[in-house]
Amino acid sequence: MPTFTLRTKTVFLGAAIASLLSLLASVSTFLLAREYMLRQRDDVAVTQVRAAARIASSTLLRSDDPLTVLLAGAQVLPGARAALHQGGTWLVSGVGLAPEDLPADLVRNLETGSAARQRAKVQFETAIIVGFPLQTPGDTWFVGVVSLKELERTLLTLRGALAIGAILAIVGGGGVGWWLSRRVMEPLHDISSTAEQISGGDLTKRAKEPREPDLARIAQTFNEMTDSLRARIDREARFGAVVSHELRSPLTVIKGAADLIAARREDLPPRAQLGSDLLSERVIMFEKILNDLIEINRYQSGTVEPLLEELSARSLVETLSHRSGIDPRIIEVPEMAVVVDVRRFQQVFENLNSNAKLYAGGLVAIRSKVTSSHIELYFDDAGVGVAVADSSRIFEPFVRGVQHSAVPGSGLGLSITVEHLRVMGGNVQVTKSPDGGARFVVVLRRGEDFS
Amino acid sequence: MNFRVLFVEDDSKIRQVISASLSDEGFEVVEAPTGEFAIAEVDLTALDLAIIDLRLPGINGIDVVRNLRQRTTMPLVILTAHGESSDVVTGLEAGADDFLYKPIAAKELVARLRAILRRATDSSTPDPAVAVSVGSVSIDASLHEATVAGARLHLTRTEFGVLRALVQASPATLSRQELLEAVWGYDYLGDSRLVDMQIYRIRQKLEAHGLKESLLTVRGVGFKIVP
Repeated sequence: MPTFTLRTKTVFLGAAIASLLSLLASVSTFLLAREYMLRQRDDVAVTQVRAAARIASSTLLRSDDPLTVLLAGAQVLPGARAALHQGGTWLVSGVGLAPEDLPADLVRNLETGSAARQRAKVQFETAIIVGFPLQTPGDTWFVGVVSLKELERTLLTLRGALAIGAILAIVGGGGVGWWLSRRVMEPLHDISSTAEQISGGDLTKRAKEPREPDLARIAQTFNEMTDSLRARIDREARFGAVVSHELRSPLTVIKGAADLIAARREDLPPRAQLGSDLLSERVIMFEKILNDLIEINRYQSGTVEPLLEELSARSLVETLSHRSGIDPRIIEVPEMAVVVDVRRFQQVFENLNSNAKLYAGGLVAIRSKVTSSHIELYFDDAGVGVAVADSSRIFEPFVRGVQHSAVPGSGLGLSITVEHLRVMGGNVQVTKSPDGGARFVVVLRRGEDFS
Repeated sequence: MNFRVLFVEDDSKIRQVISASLSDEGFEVVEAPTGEFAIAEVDLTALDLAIIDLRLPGINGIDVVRNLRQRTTMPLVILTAHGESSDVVTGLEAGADDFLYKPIAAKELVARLRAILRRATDSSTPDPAVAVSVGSVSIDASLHEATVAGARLHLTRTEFGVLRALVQASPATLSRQELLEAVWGYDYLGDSRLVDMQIYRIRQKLEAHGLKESLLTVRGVGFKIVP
């Protein structure tokens, strides 16, 4: 079933209500007018025919000739037709009137000696037929047939005018609906397009405030909400910056002190050596977690500016593998330009490598597949793999392998990996490796190939 | 030969611990708690290199870099918070030659400083071609001097290193990565902004000597110098 916009619905509703009302008004106007005009016409006809019958009646006193009587009456009925009944026969004046055209009911009334009036079709034309008995008792009647052709024409014109009025009312109703809906919807449209821009990351956009107080309140509330959202994001970003700076200074000292002790490791008694080793190891881990938190905070507050450049995928992977002590023989990556932010890609690489080491005994191969616009790097291990149910969950912040809570880490590595690759125009997924373990698929954009 | 390093850092504990690590490795460290102090120190002491924390009370780190750059040719290394990309860019624009992220590990710091100093004072590097030239640009590695048609070009240590690498490689093109390896001692993954900034400065200095179309960018590949 198609869904209509609020606006379309308003327009149609307006038009429907307008058409219903105008239809009612037109029909009742027409009926009332018609009734009133017909009655007026009836009265006039009766008066006219009565006058004619009176003249015919007085003529009848002076003359025995029915034609003279009929004509005397018909004379005062211009434009109408007349008939005289005397001694069982009809005498007719006027074109196209036959005695059979006169309604039987009317004739029956006249036979009982009373006057009668009736509306009927005579020769395909509506007419008012009025009959008066001229003698009582007796069978002499005078009948006038007054055509209603003029009246019918007037009614037709009236009907046309009302129909046009009704159509105009329907269009007007739709128009009013359209105008009203525009008036209501326009500020809402503005708000929704502003909302789109804001969700797209532009927090400086504000909705226009319409003049109508009701709608202005929506826009105001919306703008206030955006302001507080922005203030909150700014506060979080500032908090992250302050925390990172405040933690880094002492960490620099701790790290330096640990290094100083470690440099003299050989001079230390065994217990102190153990302490020194633990200190050095944990300081590195602490720094990594701190950096992860700062990194994710930067993504959440939207202040990341990637530094993209084109490098050879092969040299990149080889150099990073060399640094991490990975056997170069497991690398199967072609010489091909890829778009990366070196520092961020390095973090992605080191994170996937350390995950493989921690959870699956290390990488067994770094393979690749080239498509027309991207290159897919496969980081394969031979561990237990990642369950299908967990394959999207593991990329969320603070989610870690269930049975691995003893493995050190911030739980942010993979979510930072996702964000890093996103700003480089790539992505990451997990599937099964041909070696039975997990395969992390890192997709990078291809650059213009070096020759 | 002991290198003398100026270390500008306001946190006294950090100064202490880093100085101790550097002394362990045979560096002589001149500590400066403020920018003002550092600027005064340059006139008093012969220095080989300066490490400047960008967040300083008083004169800020960027202004210290700018000031030192005008008065010395020694390598200037800035210290900045991890991943503060904009700080790095402003620092390099002000005249820094390299940058390090805080918190720094002593080992990493020492390795970095050694690499920079080796290139900056490279008389020890075996170099068959002592004097080479491309067109009017000549390099005398033993004198550590570059000239354009006999007129001396005033270059910093790093700028000299970049120009020398390009002149020696000519007519070949050097990629950013190759320059990073040759001059900064980075492996493949150095920050290419370092190179771009030095190229920009060298180009300006060459243009001041009338060489407008000499140091060329080869799109997608790197840089080369032509007669």
